Amino acid sequence: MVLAIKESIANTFGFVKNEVVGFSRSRMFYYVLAALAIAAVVPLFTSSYVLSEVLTPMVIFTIYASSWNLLASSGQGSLGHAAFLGIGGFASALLVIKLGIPPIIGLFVGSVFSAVIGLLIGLTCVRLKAWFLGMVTFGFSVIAVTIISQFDAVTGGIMGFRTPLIVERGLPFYYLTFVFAVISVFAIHLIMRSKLGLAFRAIHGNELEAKMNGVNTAKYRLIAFVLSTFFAGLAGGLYAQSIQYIQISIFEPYYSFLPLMICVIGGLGTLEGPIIGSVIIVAIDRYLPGIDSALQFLKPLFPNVSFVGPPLRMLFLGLFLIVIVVFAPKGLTAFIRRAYAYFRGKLVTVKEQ
Amino acid sequence: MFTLSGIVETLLWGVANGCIYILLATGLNIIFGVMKLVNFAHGQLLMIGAYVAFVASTALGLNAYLAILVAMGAVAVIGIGLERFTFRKVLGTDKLNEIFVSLGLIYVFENAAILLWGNDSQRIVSPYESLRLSLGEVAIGYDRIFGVLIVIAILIALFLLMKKTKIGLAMRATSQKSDTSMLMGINIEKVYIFTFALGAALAGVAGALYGIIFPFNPYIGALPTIKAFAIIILGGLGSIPGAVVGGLLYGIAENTAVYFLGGIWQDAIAFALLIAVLVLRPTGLFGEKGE
Amino acid sequence: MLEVEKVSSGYGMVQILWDVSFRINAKEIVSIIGPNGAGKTTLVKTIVGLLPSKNGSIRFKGEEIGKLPPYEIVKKGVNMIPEGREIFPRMTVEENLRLGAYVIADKNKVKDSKERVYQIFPVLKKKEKLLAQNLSGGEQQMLVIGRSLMANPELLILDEPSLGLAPIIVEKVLDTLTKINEDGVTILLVEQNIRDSLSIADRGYVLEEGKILIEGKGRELLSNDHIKEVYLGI
Repeated sequence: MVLAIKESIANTFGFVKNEVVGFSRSRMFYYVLAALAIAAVVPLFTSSYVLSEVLTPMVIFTIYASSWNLLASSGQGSLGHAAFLGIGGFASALLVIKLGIPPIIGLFVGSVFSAVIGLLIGLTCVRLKAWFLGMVTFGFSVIAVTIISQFDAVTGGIMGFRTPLIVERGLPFYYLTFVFAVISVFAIHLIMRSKLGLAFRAIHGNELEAKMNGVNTAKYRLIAFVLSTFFAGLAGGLYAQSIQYIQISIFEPYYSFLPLMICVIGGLGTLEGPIIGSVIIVAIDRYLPGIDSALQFLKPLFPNVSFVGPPLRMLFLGLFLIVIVVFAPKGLTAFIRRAYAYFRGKLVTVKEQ
Repeated sequence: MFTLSGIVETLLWGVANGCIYILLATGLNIIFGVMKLVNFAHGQLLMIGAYVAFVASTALGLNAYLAILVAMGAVAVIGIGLERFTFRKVLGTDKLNEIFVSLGLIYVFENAAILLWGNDSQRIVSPYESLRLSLGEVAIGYDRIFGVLIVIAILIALFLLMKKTKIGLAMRATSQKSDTSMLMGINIEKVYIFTFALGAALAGVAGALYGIIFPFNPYIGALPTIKAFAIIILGGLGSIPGAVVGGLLYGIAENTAVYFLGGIWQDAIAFALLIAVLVLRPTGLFGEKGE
Repeated sequence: MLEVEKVSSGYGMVQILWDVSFRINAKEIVSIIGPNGAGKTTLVKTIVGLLPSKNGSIRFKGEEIGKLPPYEIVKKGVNMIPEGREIFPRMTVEENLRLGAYVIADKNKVKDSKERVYQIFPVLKKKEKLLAQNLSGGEQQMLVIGRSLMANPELLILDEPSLGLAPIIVEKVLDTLTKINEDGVTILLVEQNIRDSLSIADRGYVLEEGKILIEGKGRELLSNDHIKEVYLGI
C-alpha cells in the first residue's frame, strides 16, 4: 500500500518533471514567459483603479473560467458554478472570522470545502447527460441561496459582511492572485496532459466508446467535477477578498453564466481560452459602460427604461454569444486565426498572380 | 396555524399553479422527445408570452383570455425563428453548444423585454379578477379555475393532434427513430420546425396564464425552466402523461412547502425534488435512450 | 431503372466508397454482396439520400436524385428497408404501416395498400392493434417489408434482411421478395448471406473495400473462383 502510494507519487513527480523540462524547451515557453512578464510588469504602471477593478478581476476570473473549462473538457456543462464560487467565498471568509484561523489557510480550507460539496453534488449527477447536469447545477445554485439565507444567523449572507484579507489590497493582492492563477492554470494544464486529461477528453469525445474501452466514465467525470469545484472555490475565496465584501448576490445566475461566456468567447477547451476570454469580458464590463451615456440618445425609442445602455449591451452580448457558437464554435481566437490564415492565403495567391 | 381549510386551499392552488408548469414542461418535453434538444431559454418564452398577452390586453384592449391566443401565436412564430436560425445550426454538434445558444437567448430575451417594457412588475388584468368560487371556507379565484380548464382543453387537443393527425404520427415516429422516419418520406426539418413552434406556443399560453394569475417582470423566466425540468424528470422523459402527473405533483408540493415551511423554500423545493428523484429513481432519467 | 455512376461517399472526412458504378434494370432483382465493412450500408444510404454523395451521379428512371433529400427520393418511388428491422417499437402495427404510406395523400389508396399487405402477411392483420415491440423477430421483418410496400415503391432496397433470422424465416423472406418482384417491383438486395441472395438474384455485384470488384449473373457468380475462394470457402 505504502509502496504503491510512493510509486504513484514518484510517477506523478516524474510526469511533472518531464512536462516542465519538455515545456521549457518548446517555442511556446518563450511566448508564455513573455506573457507572464507583461502581466507582472504592467500593474506597476497603472492606476490603483485599473489595478483593483480591472487587472485583479481578470486574473481571478481566469482561475474561475479555467475551472469551468476543466469541467467542460470532460463533456460536462455546469450552469450553476456560482454555487461553488459562493461557497468558496463564504467558507473561506467565515472560517477566518468565526474560528480565527489565518486567511491564507481559510482560503485553502474554503476551496477544499467547495470541492467536498462538489463531490456530494457530483455523486448525484455525474451520470447525467449534459443538459440535466446543467439543470441540476443551476438548481443547486438556487438552493444554495435558500440555505445561506435560512441560516442567516451563522452566515450573515443576506446583509453581507466585510471579508478578511490575506494581504493588503493593491499591488500585493494582485501579485497574490497572479501567483495563484499561474499555479492553477499550470496545474490544470498538467492535469489535461496527464492520463486523467486523456480520460476526460475520451469521455467528451464519445462517452459510449470511452466506456467500451474500459474507461470508468462515472469515476472520471466525478474527478473532473471535484477538481473543477476546488478551483472554483479558490476563485470565490479570492474574489470575495478582492471586492472586500460577500453577500448572497454572489450566487446570482450572472456569476454562473460568466465562465461560460468567458470560455466560449476565449475558446472552449483550450488553455489560453479562459485567459483571453477573461480579459475581453472584464474589459467589456469595465470600459463599455463609458458608451452608456452615448447610447442614451436611443432613450426615446424605449420609453419604459431609464437607462438604455446596460440592457442594450447585455442584449448584444447574448447575440454575440449565439453568433460565436453558430459561426465560430472554436472561440474567437480560433476564428481570428482562421480569418488570418484565410486572408494570408488570399494575399499569397494575389502575389503569385 | 395550519387549518384543514388552509390545507385544502393550498392543494387547490397547487393544482392551479401546476397547470402552468404542465404546459411549460409538456412543451419542453415534446421538443426534447422529437429533436433530442433542450432549450434552456424555454422559460424566457413564457416570459415573452406574458408580455405579449399584456400588450394585447392593454394596447389593443382585448379581453385577457383572448390575449392568450395572441400570445400563443406570437410565441409560436418566435419559436419558428429560433429553430430556423439558431438551434438548427447547432443540432447534432456538441451538446454544450445547445447550452451556449440557450444562454445567449436568455440574455437576448430578458434584455429585449427590459428595453421594451421596463423593469417594473406588470399584471394582466382579467375581467374576473375579483370573482371567487367559495366552497365553505375554501375559496378559489375564477381565473385559476379558467386556467385549469384551458390547460385541460389544450391537453386534449394535444392528445388528438398526436394520435389522429399525420403530423402527430410523424412527430411520434421521429421521436422514436429519426433516420427510419426519413426513410418513410417524412421531411424531418418540417417536423422539427412544427415541433419547436408547438412547444413555444405552449410556453406562450403558459406565460399568458402566468400573467393573469401572478405579477411578472423580465426576470421570471429562469425559475420556471428549472421547475419544468424537475417535472419532466419526475414524470419521465418524453412522456406527455408523465409531464401532466409530474406537473400536478410539483404544483402541490411547491404550495405545500410554502404553506408549511415558508415562502423562502418555494424555489428550493424544485431542486430538492430533482435530487430526490435522481437518487431514488435514476431509471426515470436514463430509461429513455436519447442522445 | 437505377444508374449509379462513379459515386464516392463516406462519413465526414472518412471516405468509404470510391467511384462505385452499377445499374439496375426494371423488374430485376439485383444483389450486392460483400464482406462486413465493405461499404454496403454506406452505398444504400447514399442512394436514398441519408448520406450525401461526394461526386458522381445517381439517376432514377433517368432523373438525377443524387442531391435530393430522403423524403423527395421516397416520393419518387424508391424505398429502403434499413438493416436491423427498424420498426417503430412504441407504435402499433397499424400505425407502423400508416407511416409506410406517409407520402401518399390519397386515403383510399392507403386503405387498399393496407389490405394488400394484410393479404400477404395475415399475421399482421391479427396483431394490428399490438405495439410493434411485442412482435417476434420474424413478424417484425414482415412488418418492415409490409411497411415499405405501403408506399407502392417501384424500387425496393433491402439492407441485410436475413441478419439474425432463423434459416426457415430467411427462406420465407426470400420467397416473399420473389413474389413481390413478380408483382413488378424492382429489388436491390444487399447481403452478406451470399448463397441465398445470389440464388434469387438476376444479377449480382461484389463490393469490396468500397469498390465494385466483380459483376455477373446471379447463379453464375456462385461458381466464380474469387467468390468460391473468399466467400464460400470451397
